[in-house]
Amino acid sequence: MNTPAPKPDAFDKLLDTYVEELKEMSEAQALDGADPATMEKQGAALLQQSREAAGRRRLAAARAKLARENAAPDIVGAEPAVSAQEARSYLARASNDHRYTMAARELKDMSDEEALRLYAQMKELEREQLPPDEDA
Amino acid sequence: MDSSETNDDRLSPEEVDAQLRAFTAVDWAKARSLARMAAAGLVGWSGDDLLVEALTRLQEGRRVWRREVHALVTLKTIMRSIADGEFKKQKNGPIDVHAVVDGDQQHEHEVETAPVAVAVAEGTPEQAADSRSQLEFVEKLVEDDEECGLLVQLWADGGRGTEAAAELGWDAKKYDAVRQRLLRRIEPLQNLRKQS
Repeated sequence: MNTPAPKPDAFDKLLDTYVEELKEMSEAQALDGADPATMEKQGAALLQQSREAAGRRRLAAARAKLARENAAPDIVGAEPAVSAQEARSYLARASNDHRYTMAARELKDMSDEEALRLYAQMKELEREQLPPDEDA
Repeated sequence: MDSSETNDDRLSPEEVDAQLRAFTAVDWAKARSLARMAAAGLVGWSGDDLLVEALTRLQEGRRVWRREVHALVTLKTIMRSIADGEFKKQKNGPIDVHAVVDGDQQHEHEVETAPVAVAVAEGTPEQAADSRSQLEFVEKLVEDDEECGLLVQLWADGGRGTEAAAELGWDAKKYDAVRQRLLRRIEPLQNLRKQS
């Protein structure tokens, strides 16, 4: 994993600049002629949409976990348990690997649960990519 | 990893929900505008799609919102991460970004969205497919408008506001006008849907 760290992204900087612009923007500029009541209603609809999607995903994750445990109870725990910190260290190393699109900066804002989930996912991928034997 | 960052400075799910519920019309307008910019060059994603995905991940607990961090900064970080991954996937994956379809289908990122009109007014899927980065896409989008192009370059260099306007020899009114023009040109491509 000797891939150099990615160069600072100019689009990322553009977005940072735009965030600062938005923070200082007046109400009239931000709304750009939109009706405030309509904007608030649309925003609430987006929030509701996301709330429902989050609920569905949590339910799907719980079901998948239960299904895995029921299907192969002996395999559960086969992967040595790691702490969230260990998982983050592993992911930080992986972020320098060109095969993965994750940037190191994402780790900072990732929950422990998400770090552990990604760790497990990447370990699974590694296992799948192992050659069937060592004959070469 | 900064060891000083602990779980204590993260908003709880209930606090995240309360913060989002307290969004005003202006908060939503700003968040949606930021999302449109962050989704630039992504075929099949509108700004609202990206915003909903970011909000979903926050509510799922997959992403965190740190105390004292502005909502727009939090959303920007999450949306940038999602968009960056999606852009790379579209560049490398087997997705036919040239396809234009209607909006009746479910997105692969499982966010339900209202059907939208197909529009190829400004950016085209070809422009998105030919762009090596989201910034390059935005630059191509405004290549026939020198003032918008200058503003994009300036923002990408971190310049903004009155300082940026002065650097370009513009007054505040002109700066605002060019900014609005730029933002309005970002949107049309987001209304495209890719074919599954």
